[in-house]
Amino acid sequence: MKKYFLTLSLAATAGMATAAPLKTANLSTVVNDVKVSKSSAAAVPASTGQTVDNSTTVLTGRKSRAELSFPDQTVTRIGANSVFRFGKTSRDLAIDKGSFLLQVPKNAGGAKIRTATVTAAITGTTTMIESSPSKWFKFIVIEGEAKLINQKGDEVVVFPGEMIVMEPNAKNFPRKIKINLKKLVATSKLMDEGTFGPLNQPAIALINEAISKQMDERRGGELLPSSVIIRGPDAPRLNPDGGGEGGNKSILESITGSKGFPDSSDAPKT
Amino acid sequence: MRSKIISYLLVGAAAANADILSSTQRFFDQGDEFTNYSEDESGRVDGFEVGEVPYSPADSDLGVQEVLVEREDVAPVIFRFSNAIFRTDNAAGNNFFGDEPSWISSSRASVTWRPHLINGWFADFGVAMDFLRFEDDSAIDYENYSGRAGIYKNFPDLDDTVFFARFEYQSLNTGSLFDSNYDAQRIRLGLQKTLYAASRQRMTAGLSAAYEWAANPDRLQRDEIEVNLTYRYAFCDDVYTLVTVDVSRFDYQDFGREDLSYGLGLEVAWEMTKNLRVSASVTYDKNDSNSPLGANDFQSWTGGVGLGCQVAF
Repeated sequence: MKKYFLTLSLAATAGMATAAPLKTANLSTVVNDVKVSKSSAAAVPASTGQTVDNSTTVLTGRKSRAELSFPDQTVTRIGANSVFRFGKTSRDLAIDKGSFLLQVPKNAGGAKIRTATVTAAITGTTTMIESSPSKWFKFIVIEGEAKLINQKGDEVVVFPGEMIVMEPNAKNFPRKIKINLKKLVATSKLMDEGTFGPLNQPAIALINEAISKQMDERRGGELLPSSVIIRGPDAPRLNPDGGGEGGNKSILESITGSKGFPDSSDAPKT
Repeated sequence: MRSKIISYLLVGAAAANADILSSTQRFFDQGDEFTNYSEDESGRVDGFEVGEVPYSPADSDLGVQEVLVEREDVAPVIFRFSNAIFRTDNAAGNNFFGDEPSWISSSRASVTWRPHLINGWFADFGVAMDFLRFEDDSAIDYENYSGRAGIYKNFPDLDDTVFFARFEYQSLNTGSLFDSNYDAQRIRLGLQKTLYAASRQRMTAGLSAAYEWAANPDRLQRDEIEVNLTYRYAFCDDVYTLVTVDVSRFDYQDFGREDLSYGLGLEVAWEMTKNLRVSASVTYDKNDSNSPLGANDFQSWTGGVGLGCQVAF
């Protein structure tokens, strides 16, 4: 099981030398059951305004959320049932499991995301990540872009409105999937201003720009609705949900109808 | 005197016979596929077939991920063929004195093509042929030919409401390929919208109005207002059920005739492969007409199984 656990690290890229290290953060939002654990000590309830450092692990329980604000205005929002740790190097952030929103400002010096199978380079991006141990890893770019690199050295650039869904131990990148950004942002609890407050203004402007660009593509018929929609059991909805979804198939198996993952030989490379 | 009364009754009964449309229209949709403008017709995601997607608890935090597909450079031409065996308690026919149950053999072939025109406007071309053969000798075997040519557009700013406009042609023959017993030309305008979509569920509503400017025979020229509701639930990736409700009001241009037609359908389908589909369905149809003596009133139950295939080029 352990081998499937994803560890995401954020490390500075070219501009990292001058970027502020992500060694401390302020717990700017704490909702419901949020705990912190220092080194190997037992977890204790966290409180809003608490400062955490690189020896701290942040854990959220059911229907719980937290936000970490870093000195360079990098923001990490942590969803329910998640485990977050600082990484080993100056700007490392480690994610064991759960859902996260990462907003790295354009001028923060960039970052690099590492997992057991994927490394992602970010230069000012708002992304959402889901890590389900032994099930799948999901990476969504809301604005900006991210370059993912796997262990074979294959690369794929993920742009706004694109999503990568893959098994944690996948050898190849799957094809990128386009998703409706406007709907995602409107229904995301990690983007909920009522819970977290707004992201910083430049990020909001860039997100709106990305949504606007995708809306233009949709208006022009370049992007079309499909029959596939992925929503959680508690996702905000306009209509009553009968629920009852489930099944044992992996998400990508379900999407592709294939037992195996699509070979990414035609995946864009840079 | 007695023979005169009998003559009047016979003439009256003959005059009250159901017309060809009322006799056959309850079978028009058998084996038909729901015309869905609200999503990409091929059901593909980046070239792969689309199945239903289970949620993960974290999706509640991430938000609703509605998958979009990129428009293909060349729209596929989709051929569909189906054969079905049905049983009905009211076969097509003009028997005024009672409903006749019958087995039905139904064959259908259709072709659709929806190329992009400009700025999100798509063309919609389609032709279909239905051949219905009834086991009951008194029933009317017939062929239904239909064609459409139109345009449609999805409006993302209106919460993905789809507008469509199309020309429709329909011709009914009873046994001869070239002698039409009925034909009509009409323009249909409509809206379609997905009201609700989740991983395994989708509900789509439609509203349309059709103006018919020519029909043969003239007395069957009619305008239509239609509302429909379709609910799809996928039990698993390959098996789903479809519930359809359809209500149409027909306004005939002669004699102030008005019909209100209801249809209710339940279908369970198994998509055995990308191209092959087996289905079982049951439909209930009812028509209330203000025609004298209820000549064009009917109701029927029809159920059966079918096998269909789809090929895209």
